[in-house]
Amino acid sequence: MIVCEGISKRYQGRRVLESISLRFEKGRQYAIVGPSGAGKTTLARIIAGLEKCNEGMIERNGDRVLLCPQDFVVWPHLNVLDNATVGLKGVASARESVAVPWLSKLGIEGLKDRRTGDLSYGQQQRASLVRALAASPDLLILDEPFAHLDPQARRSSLREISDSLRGENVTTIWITHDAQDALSLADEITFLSGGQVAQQGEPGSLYENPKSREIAEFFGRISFVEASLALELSGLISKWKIAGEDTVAFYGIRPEMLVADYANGKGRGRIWKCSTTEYLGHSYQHEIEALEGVRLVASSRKPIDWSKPVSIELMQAPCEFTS
Amino acid sequence: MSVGMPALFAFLMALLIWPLMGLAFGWFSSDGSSFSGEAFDLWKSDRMLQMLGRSAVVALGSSVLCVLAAVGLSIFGESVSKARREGAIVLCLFASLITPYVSTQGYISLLGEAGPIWTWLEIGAPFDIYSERGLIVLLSFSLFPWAFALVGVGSRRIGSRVGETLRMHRASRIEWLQLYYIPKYTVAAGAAFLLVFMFSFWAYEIPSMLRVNLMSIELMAAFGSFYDFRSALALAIGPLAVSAILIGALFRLYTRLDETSTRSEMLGETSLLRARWFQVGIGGYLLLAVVLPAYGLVIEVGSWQALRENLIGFRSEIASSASVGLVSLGVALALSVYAIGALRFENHQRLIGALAIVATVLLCLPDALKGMGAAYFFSQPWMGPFSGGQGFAIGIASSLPLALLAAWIIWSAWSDRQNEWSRSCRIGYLSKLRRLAIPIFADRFVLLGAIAFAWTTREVPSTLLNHPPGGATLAVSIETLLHFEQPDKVASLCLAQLGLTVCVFAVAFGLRALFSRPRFQ
Repeated sequence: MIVCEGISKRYQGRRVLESISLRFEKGRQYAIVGPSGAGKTTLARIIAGLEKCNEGMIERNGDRVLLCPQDFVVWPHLNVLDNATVGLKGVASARESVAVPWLSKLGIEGLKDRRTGDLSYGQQQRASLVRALAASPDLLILDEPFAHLDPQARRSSLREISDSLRGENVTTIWITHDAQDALSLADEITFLSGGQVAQQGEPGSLYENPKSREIAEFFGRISFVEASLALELSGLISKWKIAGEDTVAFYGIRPEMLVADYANGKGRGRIWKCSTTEYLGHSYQHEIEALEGVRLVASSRKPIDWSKPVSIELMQAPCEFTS
Repeated sequence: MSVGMPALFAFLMALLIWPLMGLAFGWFSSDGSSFSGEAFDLWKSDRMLQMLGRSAVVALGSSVLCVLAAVGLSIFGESVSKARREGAIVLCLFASLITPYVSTQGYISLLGEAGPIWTWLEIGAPFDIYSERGLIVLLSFSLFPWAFALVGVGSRRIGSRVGETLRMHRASRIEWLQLYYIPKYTVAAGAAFLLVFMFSFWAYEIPSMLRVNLMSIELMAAFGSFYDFRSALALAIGPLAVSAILIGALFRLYTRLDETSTRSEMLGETSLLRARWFQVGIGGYLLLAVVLPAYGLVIEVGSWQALRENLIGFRSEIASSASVGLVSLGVALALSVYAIGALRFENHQRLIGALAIVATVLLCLPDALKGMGAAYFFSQPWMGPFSGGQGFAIGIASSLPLALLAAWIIWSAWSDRQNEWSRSCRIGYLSKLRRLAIPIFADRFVLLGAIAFAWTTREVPSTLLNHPPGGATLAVSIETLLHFEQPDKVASLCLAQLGLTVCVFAVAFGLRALFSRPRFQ
């Protein structure tokens, strides 16, 4: 287990990280997320031992930590196998026997004799990953891996690598600013904001119970409603049950929480004022003006003709924010 | 600019060949006996071959020392910021712009047979400074900044991530060498080696002071005594052929440098020890190259009163140095302003390449040869108002290569975005110059002016051949006094030369700070 305790970092007097404390348990996958400039990469470099912190300590307990940076390194004049065996000890055949299984797992065994300079970006990144994996790290930090690939290819590559790392019981930290990647890959997510840990927990808890508007917005589209308007809205939106209004300052409602459908004479159907409709493939998202100056985003499986009466139903309890 | 381009190109080509043209015209103007036979007779003598070998050995020794020191210090320099690295290069180049007479005379005073160091240690001098070994060491001190600048600026871009990756993967020393140091430094070190080799092969001042006879001294003797273009050309033809090959090799290497080099990045925070070694190295060099020799000079002169008395008779030399330096400064500024305006603003890539070649070739040719070319042309009546204007000749000979090189360096800082922006604004050449180039490059122009000034006033062979009667510069006076065994006067003149250079650079740095402003990125 690797433990970070009270890590702080300053660059030329400017605070970058402030009292970060984290624990990384063997075999689990973690994600460190946050907006640009939150300090994610600096934290990763400190954990990997590439930078020193001004305060705090890291207990590595002899564990080997490797960082695969976003701008990964391959030597273009070397072939994939030679790139993968940099740093490995022993004779050539022994080094090869360590690297080849990883080449196979990452699907580039057939390229092992090709110069990396001739390969695509994704293949080059896999070659650099093989080097990291062949070194048998106890903790592997992947900083924005495959950031330059298209979303589909990136997601499938990440899934393959994540599965391989789980299979080998390698503790992994994914550094990303992509909320979907973090939610789908990690067992635990740490949200950094302004160099501090804003929230930490399982993916579901950060998505469903974000502690701040910033976190809520990071994980997807969300509309905010002041608690004082909730009573009025509950009269318009089906199944909105008001609870805890004494402590709640405002509510956060994601599009999938609000489902729109034709009233067909039942429920609280009414004519809504819809400003925009977006088609997302699997659903539609509609921005509606629920009250004067209060905009909500609702979803529907089918297109909606807003000149007809439509009922909007709250499918799950909205996120609650105390401040 | 349609008329200006061919004119500039013709001018550049003329610049490239003018030293040789000067020699050739001089030869044609003498009697018509067989030149090849004369050259062959000269070069088949044992004495000449020995001298050529000695020059090559000295150049090789100093080049190896310079490159090893430059690469070593650059490796340590990876651990400091870019600004500090560049500052170190500028400081070292400043040290190299002080005439070699200053450092050499300082070392002779300190480390000569009766040097105060040996007296203080109560031992006899363990080595003879007037030897080839002493020459190699002093040439290395003098030329190290060039190697350091070329290696520092031209080393291949291998980013910090590569070093970090090797460190994280616990790469072996051989892997570090194969995957980091060799790819990063080989080309730049090769280019630095060739440049220093040519500089030291044709070095004049230090061999002259240490009385070690090298090619450059022989060349000066052949021409300077009798203004015999024919003998000089016969003597120069062999080494010039070798120089041409080396310059060709330098450019092949440079092309590769140009493709791959930018500034190297920092290795991270874990190399504090290396950063300290870098600081110690630079500090040590400046101590040895500037402070210690200056201290030696002060000891030699003895007192302030003695310094004043020694300098009283050399007021005209100080004035000559200043005037020649100012001519050079003016030529360098005017030509570089014209060249960057004419070339870069119109995107003439081939001419820019030609500019770099001309500058480097002129820089690498021996000063004596350039001086001979200037001597020929400026002694011709058809030069009109410039005929007999030897001060102008000195300025031209010294500042042209520097100006061209500076123009090319300044061009490299002129980004495409600035060019596109100025084109989109549809402003004319003069407006571009006045509103963009000069404000952006004002600080560099100031530094260029200071370098041109120092470069010219430190130079001896060309000035010695061209200066008008009674118009010797400080450096030439030092050279002359060396033959009269007056070490205290030599030391006084060296201190005056040092003071002049320091003053000019102090003014330049002050102006540079004044003109410095954020540039477009």
